[in-house]
Amino acid sequence: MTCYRVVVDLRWTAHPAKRRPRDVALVAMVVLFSSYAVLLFTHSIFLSALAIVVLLISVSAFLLPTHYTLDDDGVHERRAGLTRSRAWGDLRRLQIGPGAALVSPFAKKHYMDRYRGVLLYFDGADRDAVIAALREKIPS
Amino acid sequence: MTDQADELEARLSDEDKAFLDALADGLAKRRLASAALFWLETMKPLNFVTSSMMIVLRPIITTVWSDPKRWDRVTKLLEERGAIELLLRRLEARA
Repeated sequence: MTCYRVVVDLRWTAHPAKRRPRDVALVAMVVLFSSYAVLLFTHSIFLSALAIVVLLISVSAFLLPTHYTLDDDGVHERRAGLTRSRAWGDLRRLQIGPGAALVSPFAKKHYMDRYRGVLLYFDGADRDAVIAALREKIPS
Repeated sequence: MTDQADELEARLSDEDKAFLDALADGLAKRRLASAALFWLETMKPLNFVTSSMMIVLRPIITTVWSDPKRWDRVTKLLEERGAIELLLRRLEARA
């Protein structure tokens, strides 16, 4: 019997901020308003600056480009110089949404899905090809 | 971290792998897998500090257990970056 190994090699960069400049303006307004509110209530420039940093980090997936790679080893996500990888063998669940897919090491829904799994944004990707590759590699 | 964990998995002895499996099984059996996952994820960067703390606490432990073999094994494992990731992977499979 001949065994065929499915070869996967997909790469794309998701950068929602580049495609949605209006939302960038909204983010900027929310961040500035929040930091002003912190300054108003605490009278601390340090805490106000900290609020800006925390809010910008929390929306970094929207603001910064994220490079995704699906290859024979697994799923790799690189953002702001940090790389996260998960091997196919570790992944047990695939959840597909309209704008992103979650690949999780948990067989059932778990509150740590977002921390231990990888959220793959379809922005800038061939959605159908990505979903086909994920379905091929992750048994569900 | 993943590369370090993979490298460590390849280097670990069968006894160490079996010990990690038994540890994960014990936690899952007591329905502590989720709590352990959360706790281990937050303390992952502190593996070496934890190992050092366990060495400091060893004399106190020996007053209860004369030969704490499992304590020593955990201490030794925690010296390696990636050991917690290996335990986390085992817990994920059981969660």
